[in-house]
Amino acid sequence: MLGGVFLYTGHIKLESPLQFAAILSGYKLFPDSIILPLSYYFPWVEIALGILLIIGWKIRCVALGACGLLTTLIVILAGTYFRGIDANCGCFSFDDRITPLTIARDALIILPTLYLAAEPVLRARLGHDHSRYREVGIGIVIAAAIAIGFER
Amino acid sequence: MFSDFECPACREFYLRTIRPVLKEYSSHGKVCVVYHEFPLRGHKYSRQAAQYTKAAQRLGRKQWTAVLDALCENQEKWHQDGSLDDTVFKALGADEYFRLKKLLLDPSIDTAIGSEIALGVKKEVNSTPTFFVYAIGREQKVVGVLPYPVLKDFFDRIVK
Repeated sequence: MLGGVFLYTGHIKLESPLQFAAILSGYKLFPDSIILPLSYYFPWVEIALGILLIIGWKIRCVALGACGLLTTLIVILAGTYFRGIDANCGCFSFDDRITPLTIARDALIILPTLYLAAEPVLRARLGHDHSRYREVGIGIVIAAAIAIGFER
Repeated sequence: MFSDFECPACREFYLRTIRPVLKEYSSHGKVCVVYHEFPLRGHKYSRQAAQYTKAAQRLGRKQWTAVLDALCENQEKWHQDGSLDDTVFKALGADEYFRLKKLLLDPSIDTAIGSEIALGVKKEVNSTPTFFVYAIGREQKVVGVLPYPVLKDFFDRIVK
């Protein structure tokens, strides 16, 4: 499910790299010279993460990478919001203004990545019977997905 | 591109991005810019501003860009006090201003604006500026402002 989220977000950005470039420039953070290359290549990073999460290859490393990416994104969005800049998030759609709700929604998606990254440790400490935590993680992703749906 | 003259973002987009594109690319035949009027309902003078630029277009390219520049550069003033006539008069001079005023009586000006609004609605334009880039066999819809250096980077990659 988490992989699907990354595949979706990468796909919508590939449909219009120029629109994604407009979103990136709206953050008033990146130099103009890197905006277009970022708009072309970043969606492929998301798609690669999505595929790797779905097939489960080196899941812990990939989940850590996804967690790092999402954390960076949250910091950028929060920074943009608290600098008083009126901008779009660009995560799940291109007309999604940055608000505390969108930041909270995106932050929720970090939790399943943390779970996937920490699963071996959890298994060692809690034993094999930690399925209830997995269910909570899935529930959080579903809740975030529903929040996305209502907001759109 | 679909634009509203009373929209501050459209003003910024025209002055900082479209104007240099017209100068550096369109004037050399590398990029074609098609400008569509899309006056938004919430703006008191934008329909009138659209009529002025439509009429200026019929006078000629030089007159059209002069009116476009004047309306964008003085947007804050005429947005407050409605001084469109004064702004356009100063941009064109007396002779061409009065020619423009005669053209404004032609109902086809308003019909043309209506057609462009209808086209925008059909293309799901909900806000301004919204522009569509047609290049390398695909259409990309962009809502909002794109800085000139980014668009220049894009054009330089595809236009020889």
